[in-house]
Amino acid sequence: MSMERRKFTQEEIEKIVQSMDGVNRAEIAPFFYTRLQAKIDSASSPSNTIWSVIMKPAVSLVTLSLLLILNIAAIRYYSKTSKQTTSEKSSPIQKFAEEYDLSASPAYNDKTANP
Amino acid sequence: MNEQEFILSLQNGDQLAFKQLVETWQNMVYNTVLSIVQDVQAAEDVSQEVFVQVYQSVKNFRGDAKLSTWLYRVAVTKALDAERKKKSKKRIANLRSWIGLGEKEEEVAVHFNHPGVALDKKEQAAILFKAMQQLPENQRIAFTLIKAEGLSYDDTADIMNVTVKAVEALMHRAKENLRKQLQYYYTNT
Repeated sequence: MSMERRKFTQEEIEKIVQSMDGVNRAEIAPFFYTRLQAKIDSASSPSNTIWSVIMKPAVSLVTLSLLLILNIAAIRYYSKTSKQTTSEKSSPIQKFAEEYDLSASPAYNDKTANP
Repeated sequence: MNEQEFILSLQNGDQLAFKQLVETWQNMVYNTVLSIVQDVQAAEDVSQEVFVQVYQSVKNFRGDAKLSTWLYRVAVTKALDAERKKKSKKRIANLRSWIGLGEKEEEVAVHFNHPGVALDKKEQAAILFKAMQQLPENQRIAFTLIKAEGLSYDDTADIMNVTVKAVEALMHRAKENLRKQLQYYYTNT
């Protein structure tokens, strides 16, 4: 395909510019209302509306970001509480040892003790 | 039933009133859209979108303008949106082919033949429609409404929300631009 420059005379140009004068209105294909009704029904069906909202890129992006933030928060919270639990688990033993003074050396081992 | 009562019926969800609205204005909407998008299938799709929007938003119509004026506004806006989408798709396709992600689409020279143009003017009108695509949007709207829809300058001014003088100026500039373009008209052979 090649481009060819076409030169119009002033008279031709005027004819072209006026070629739409008195044009008849184009008519739409028959049964337009039926096709339109089908489109309106599908557009207003609830599942369609919900999906059209969900499928919006902005909504998907926000949902994904929220999920990511929630996941990170959950992981951090879990690791923090598990550390606390470990320390809490050891604390009653420590308390017990402190209470009965188990940390102190036994008397028979005490070299400083007098017979 | 006067226009106010008719609008009230539409706002109350009267299906018969909506059917009447569609059947009264479908060709006006289609002709306006077709003259802008210059493609029969796209014009049908856009016309459907126009009436879907009318159906969904008629409750918010306050009656500041005539019903026909509002319909023309919706039709013109939707048609121009469709044109913009088509152009941006074309730009993306060109960009993809340029960076090697897709094959370049062969540009097919399609001459749009408006079905309402008389047979002896078909060729000239096809050239005019092609040249109209290069006009700035507001000149194109004014030219389309006046020439394709046969509207008066007053009605066009109402639809475009400008003064009659502004419409006259737009028409004058549109014709001047078309004449300039036709002096350097390139055709595919």
